[in-house]
Amino acid sequence: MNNPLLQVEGLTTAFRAGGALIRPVQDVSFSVAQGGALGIVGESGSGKSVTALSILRLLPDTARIETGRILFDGTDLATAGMTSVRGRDIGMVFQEPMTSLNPVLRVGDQVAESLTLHNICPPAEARARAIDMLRRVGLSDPERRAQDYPHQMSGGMRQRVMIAGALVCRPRLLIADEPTTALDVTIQAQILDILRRMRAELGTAIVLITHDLGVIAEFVESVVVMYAGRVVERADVASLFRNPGHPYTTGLLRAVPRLHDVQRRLYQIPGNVPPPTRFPPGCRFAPRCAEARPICTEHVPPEIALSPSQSAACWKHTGFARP
Amino acid sequence: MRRYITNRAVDALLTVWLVLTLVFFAMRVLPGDPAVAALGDQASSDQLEAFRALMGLNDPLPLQYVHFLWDMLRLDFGTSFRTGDRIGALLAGALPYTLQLAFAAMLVGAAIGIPAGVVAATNRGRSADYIARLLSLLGLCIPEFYLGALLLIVFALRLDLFPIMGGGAGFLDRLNHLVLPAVTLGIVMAAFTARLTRSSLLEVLRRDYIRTARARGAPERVVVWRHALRNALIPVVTGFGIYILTMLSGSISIELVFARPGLGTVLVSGILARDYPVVQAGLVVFALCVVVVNLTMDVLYALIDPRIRVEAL
Repeated sequence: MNNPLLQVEGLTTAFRAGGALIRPVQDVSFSVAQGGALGIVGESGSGKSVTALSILRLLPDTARIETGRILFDGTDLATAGMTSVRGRDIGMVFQEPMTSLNPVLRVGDQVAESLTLHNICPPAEARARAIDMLRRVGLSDPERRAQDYPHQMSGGMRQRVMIAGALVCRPRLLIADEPTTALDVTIQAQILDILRRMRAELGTAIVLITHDLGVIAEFVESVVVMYAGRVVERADVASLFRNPGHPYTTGLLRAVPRLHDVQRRLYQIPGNVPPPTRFPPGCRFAPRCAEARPICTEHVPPEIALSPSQSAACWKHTGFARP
Repeated sequence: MRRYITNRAVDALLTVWLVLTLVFFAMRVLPGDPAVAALGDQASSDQLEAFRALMGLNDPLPLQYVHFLWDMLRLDFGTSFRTGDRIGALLAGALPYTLQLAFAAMLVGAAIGIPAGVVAATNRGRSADYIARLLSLLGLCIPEFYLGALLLIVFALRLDLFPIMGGGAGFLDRLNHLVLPAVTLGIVMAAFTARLTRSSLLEVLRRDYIRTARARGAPERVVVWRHALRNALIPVVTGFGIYILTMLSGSISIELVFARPGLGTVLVSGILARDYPVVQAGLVVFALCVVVVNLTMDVLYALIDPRIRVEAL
């Protein structure tokens, strides 16, 4: 039980872009417990999605995993045949429900696909299980809807179909990459509800990737905060909100709108995440950080443990001195 | 689906009517007197007048138009000026040769072109891709009549594997006569199809739902043939439609090269002999073929892409 289900160690993913090699994900490590829920949070361009795609090796042709290990239940995914793991042991839900389903195949067949691909059951049973899964994710009249094509459904319904397809083999891990970002607020809540219920019913561990701290607060137990391709903080969700250890996390928390102080202008972290071609030396957040000192722009800060369940990569925890 | 097909069919009928009207007026404004063309320079003015009266050429134009439409509706194409044969029978004899050629060429083109396009796309940037692209470029550059003559010289004259000319009699003999012309047109079609399939497939393979299929554990074979190809074929089918239409006219030169007694041959000999009714009927039949091909393509789209069934009403 102490064995983590997923363990990512020192992951660096490189892309060929023009003549140069860029690394949108660098030296990223985290782990997910059996049945646990981990959130990966950060702004656009922080490397969250590339991290997720790296785990399942769904990266485009121009990218490759440069260093690092991805252990799933003790086996290195680099050496395992990925097609046998994808869909069966690890399911994935993407951000864009409108374009993530094949327009020429019936949704029932798409949901059932993992079952038949992995020879888990004969086609007739796969169809029945797909319909059952569609019912569980809250599609009314699933027998009839299974015959529909994606264009006959709304975004929220398509995302339910995506979730059903990702969970139909009862994988032990679900990676959800911004599953609610493209949806209306009311639909977002429903989708999160479905994910939560599915996790309880099936015991699936979840890696939830989001830029929305509100989603993090109500969904996961532990959080990894990424900035410009690096992990800047990891913490249990209570510590993160009560006592953020990295100035970037503090900035993200301040940028969340709150109900009580509607008067105040919403806080914005000044500047933008730099593109991978222009990651600064030292701490990558330093150019946007109000607390930055000279050391920050020169040396990459180490991860400093703040408590058994929290650590942050920031020089302020060493008094801005190299240990 | 049924409503979609009905709508397409109504469109097709409307097109046929427009084509008939166009052919009717085109034949009337063309220079030259049909009576002179039919009877020759030596005919007396009485003879010419009698012929015009017989053919209804003195009737007011609207009346001629109605007669023309009525004749076409009954598939009555009249008689040839030159031979006096019924044109309907003439065309009915010729049409199968042309249709068989077009159909066979399309089969050859699809059977070679689609797999070649898939191989090229899935091996992008590798030698298989370059070879496929080079060959297809070659296929597109060669004029059909030249390729036909080339094949004729090599496979019919030198190697004596196939007949040199004619349409053949009996099923096997007809098939034997069909091979070289069908391969000729098929090679050009394959070149065209391969390029279209390649670019379309490459485009589709970048889509989000392809990533989803991979995330479900689909091996590359399933990703390409089940998920990508069907989406990629939509523009290819469009290309087919356009290509078959150009091939129908292309079949005229190919029929001449291989001396097939097809529609093209009938049309060309009709033009050369100034046999107006034959030319008129030939044009109508060609136009009908175009309309039928278009209708078939529309139905095919709907079968491939369920979205079209609702969107394109």
